[in-house]
Amino acid sequence: MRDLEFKQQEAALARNRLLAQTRNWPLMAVLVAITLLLVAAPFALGGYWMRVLTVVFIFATMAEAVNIIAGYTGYPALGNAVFFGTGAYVAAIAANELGVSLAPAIVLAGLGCVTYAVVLGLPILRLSGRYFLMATLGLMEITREVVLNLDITGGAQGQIFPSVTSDPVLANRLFYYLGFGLLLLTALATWWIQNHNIGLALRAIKFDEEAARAMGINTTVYKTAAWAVSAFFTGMGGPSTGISWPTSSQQRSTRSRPRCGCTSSTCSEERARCSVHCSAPASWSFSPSSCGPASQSSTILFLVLSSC
Amino acid sequence: MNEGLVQALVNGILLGGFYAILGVGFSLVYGVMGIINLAHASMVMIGSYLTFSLFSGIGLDPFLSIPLVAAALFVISWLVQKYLLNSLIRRGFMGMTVVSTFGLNLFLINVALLIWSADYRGVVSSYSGVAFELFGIRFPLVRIIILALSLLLTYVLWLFLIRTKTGKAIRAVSLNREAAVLMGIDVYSIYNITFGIGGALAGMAGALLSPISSITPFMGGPLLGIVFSVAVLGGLGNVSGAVIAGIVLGVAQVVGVHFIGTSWQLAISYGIFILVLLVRPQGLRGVKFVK
Amino acid sequence: MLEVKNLETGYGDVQVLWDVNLEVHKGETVALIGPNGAGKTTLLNTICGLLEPRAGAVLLEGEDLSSVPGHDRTRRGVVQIPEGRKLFSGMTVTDNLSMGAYCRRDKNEVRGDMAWAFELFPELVPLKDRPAGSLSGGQQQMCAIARGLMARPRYLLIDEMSLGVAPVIVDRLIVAIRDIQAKADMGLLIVEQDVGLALELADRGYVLETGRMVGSGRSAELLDDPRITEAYLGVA
Repeated sequence: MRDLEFKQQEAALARNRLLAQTRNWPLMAVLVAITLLLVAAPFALGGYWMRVLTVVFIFATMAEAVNIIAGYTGYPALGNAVFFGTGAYVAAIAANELGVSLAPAIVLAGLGCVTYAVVLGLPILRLSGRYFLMATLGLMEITREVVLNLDITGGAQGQIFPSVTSDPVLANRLFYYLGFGLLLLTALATWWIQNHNIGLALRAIKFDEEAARAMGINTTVYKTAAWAVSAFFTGMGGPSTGISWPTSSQQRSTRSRPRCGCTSSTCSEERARCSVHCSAPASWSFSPSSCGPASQSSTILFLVLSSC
Repeated sequence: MNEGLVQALVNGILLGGFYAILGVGFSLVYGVMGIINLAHASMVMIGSYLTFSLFSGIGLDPFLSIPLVAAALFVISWLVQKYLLNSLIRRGFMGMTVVSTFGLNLFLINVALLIWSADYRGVVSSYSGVAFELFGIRFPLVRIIILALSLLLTYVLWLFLIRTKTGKAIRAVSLNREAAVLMGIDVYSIYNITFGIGGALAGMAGALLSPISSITPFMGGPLLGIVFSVAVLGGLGNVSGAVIAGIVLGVAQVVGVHFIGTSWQLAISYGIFILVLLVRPQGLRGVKFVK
Repeated sequence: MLEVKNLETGYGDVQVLWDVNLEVHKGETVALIGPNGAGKTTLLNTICGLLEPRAGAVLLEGEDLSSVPGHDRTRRGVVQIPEGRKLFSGMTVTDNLSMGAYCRRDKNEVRGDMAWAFELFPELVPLKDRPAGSLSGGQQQMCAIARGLMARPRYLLIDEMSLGVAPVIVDRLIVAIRDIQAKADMGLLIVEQDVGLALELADRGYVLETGRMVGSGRSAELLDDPRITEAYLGVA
């Protein structure tokens, strides 16, 4: 029965793909147009809207990355924002302690998160769906607590990434294109996964892990790989925003609206008080409490994606 | 054994009783409907704020406000189940329920921000400093009351589930939903009641917590880890398991803090949770609701 | 009269029942026979409102039940004893029986019915306070029948009661069913793979094959029909 369902799904997917290639050229045209518009946007938009868009790109990247593990593989990794924070920390610490510049720091962030995901994933991905969900949320909290208590991470104060350039306009554009590029890269990777054997294996795991194993799919390897890829892109998203997330001490000092990190509308009201979206992004900071808004936004985006 | 450790053990047991009532509502909701209520800890937070408002507004003692707070949260949760979650379950979007409770969590936090602001609030009653001393061990009065009330309320829940018709229906739905329909049980109205009870328990926990914790809109985050731990350790849907789990967790946490340090408190409770999951990778499927 | 009219049902893309008609009158026993996978359980679940029909209707004393949800049908007296018993395994035998009477308000009569149920199955008396899950297969089937009776059905649908039960116990169950037929004024619909057993108990029978009714008649006629005896009783 399940097998049949699965085959039907596959057939439907193949049909859709064919349709997309032949008949859906208006959609393709619209997509290309939007891409071109976004490439050109920095020359028309002000700094504020560019930063908003940058955040949108990063959150979309995270949502796309969650989709690989939660959507294709069926493992609801609601705590995936842990990689966002870990990535930001890895990059900032690499820059501050080793003097690495931005580009290699971002790659290091991604690789650091891959390592983290593999180490965590081997035990945690053995859990079944709902327990996995709770475990990922738990891991996010544990990681935050550990980061708060370590010296190298800077405790509650967090880390400040060294300034990349002193020109705010240039910095805005740099992070804008960085976010945009990352989103395109993630989308491309997801597309590739979807159209190759690995995607097929992941969907098989989602439908019936037992059966997938019986078909000779090494589910442990595939699941861990899916989470690692997800972590890689989420982790690179951390240092690519170029935004100062509020530290926990800042959150406490802004009395009425402590979560200025979560929506841009609150921030426009609180411009004076809050550093998010408002300071020039030449340097950025990250603290243990920064994961919350990021995880919320990316999860909501994922919800929107998955309901489409 | 040194005195500090004994004191830590005592504190752990006093705390553990409270953990039981904190986790049992979540556990019940999961056991009956399979819904992971990520808003459970925020409902606790709302319960604390309501207690705070009753205390600062009309001077009602935090422990006397328990029935009121429980009733308020029962109604709120009942409505959430009836108008939000049930419609998802009916259409077969079981996976979406967890996302909904995630959203509900954000909603409650922001409601609290709007109504009560982000300031730290507290409920300090006339007897909050009172403590007994026995063999050099301190027993704070408030914490003893909290332990007693937690255990009492959990016991009342247990009696409700095994004695009353509605309680039996709740157990029946959790054991075999299809057979429950065949018995003439309206499963969805049982769902409403169950989620209502889950909310009421969260509210009670919030009221009990208000005298010993500062109240903020974000207090739910750390609590959720304890909620998970109690529920998983005790077996999801298992009431008496939750009491044992609560006390084990309370002791483990306080003793852990005694040796490692206060700042690791949360990491310890989540660590225990992850450890439990890893030791039993398929989850701990306890005997539901005991017998 | 419980009546099924031109019923069609299915799961997702797969249609299971095609234009099915069936009648059960008060006081009679009707057998529904057919091979594995014919759609017998699907038909029962549609009658009880666990599945929605695609077309056709279920009528109770002439009233269309389409808009009546499953739990309300039990209240109105259409009760199913499901295949595989589906007891509340963590609850005691007594609790299972009282769940059977969940939708009844007449407390005193419930007590009387409970006594009758234990009279019907004295084997259950010493097991009253044991969890239902710890009972043997035969005891569980007795508990399931007793639970169904507690709803005081007007029409009782029994699905595969002989499945997974020792032959000795099946004989025991037959005695109980005859007792029920004699004492209570209800319509019985017995769904069975064991055709001999079903037709022995029933006045009339229907034959369901791959989702379609392919025959019906008095039990004696069906037992004489060579197609039936060949297909289901293994008699050449």
